[in-house]
Amino acid sequence: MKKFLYRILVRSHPRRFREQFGDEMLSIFDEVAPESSTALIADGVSSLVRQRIVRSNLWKMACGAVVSACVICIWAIGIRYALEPSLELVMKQTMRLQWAPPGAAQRLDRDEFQREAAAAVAILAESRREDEHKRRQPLVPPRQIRSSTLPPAPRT
Amino acid sequence: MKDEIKAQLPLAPAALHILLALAAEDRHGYGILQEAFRQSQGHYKLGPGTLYDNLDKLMNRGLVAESARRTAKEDPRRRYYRLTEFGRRVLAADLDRLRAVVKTASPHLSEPEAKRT
Repeated sequence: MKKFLYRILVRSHPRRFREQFGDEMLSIFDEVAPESSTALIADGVSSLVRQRIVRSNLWKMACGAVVSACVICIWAIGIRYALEPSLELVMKQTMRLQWAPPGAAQRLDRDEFQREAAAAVAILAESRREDEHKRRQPLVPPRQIRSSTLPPAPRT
Repeated sequence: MKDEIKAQLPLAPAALHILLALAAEDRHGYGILQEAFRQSQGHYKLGPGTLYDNLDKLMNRGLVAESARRTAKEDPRRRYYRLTEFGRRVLAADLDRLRAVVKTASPHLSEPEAKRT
């Protein structure tokens, strides 16, 4: 069982390392006393981690990923706090619309519509009244206007 | 050449033990483990993973090379390793460095004992 486990550990090493030293590692496992096999398995695990992560520069990629994740989190938190007032407003509006009793929003719209309609009718009536008032005023003949506005003719 | 040797120093403990094990004769992996254990009087026990990781690095740096020595009766999976001339110089330079460290440290470490007695 332990030999099977050690064989799997050796086979999990990077190909170049496994091809160069894998057989020798297995031959050493065969030679050592059975009581040392647990220590060899522990050594195999540490060797696997060393070869897969440290020697393959995977740790650099892992560090890069962690740093990138931290930067993105900080950025997101910054954006969230920068936009908090506007977000709060939007949330309140949404909550008000969502949690208002059924019909309340409709009643509110109808009242508003009636107010606006009344204002529009008043404006229309006012404009009609102005038009009628203009129509009743006597019109000034165009010639009269011209002669009065022209400068006096020079004397000869 | 001196700069190249200096660039290799100081040697890591595992690398030092491997080079010391190979200084006397060419050895296979298991032989290196046993010799390192013997030389350190049982204080330093290398595992195969650590051994071959360090051997790989030492071979890439030109301090150790694969040896042609094989015996017919032995396990065919075994490979022998030898110290290169450059590796021998690097080992000598590191031992000089360690001697200097011991020389510098000895008076400071022996003082309290001398005062007590």
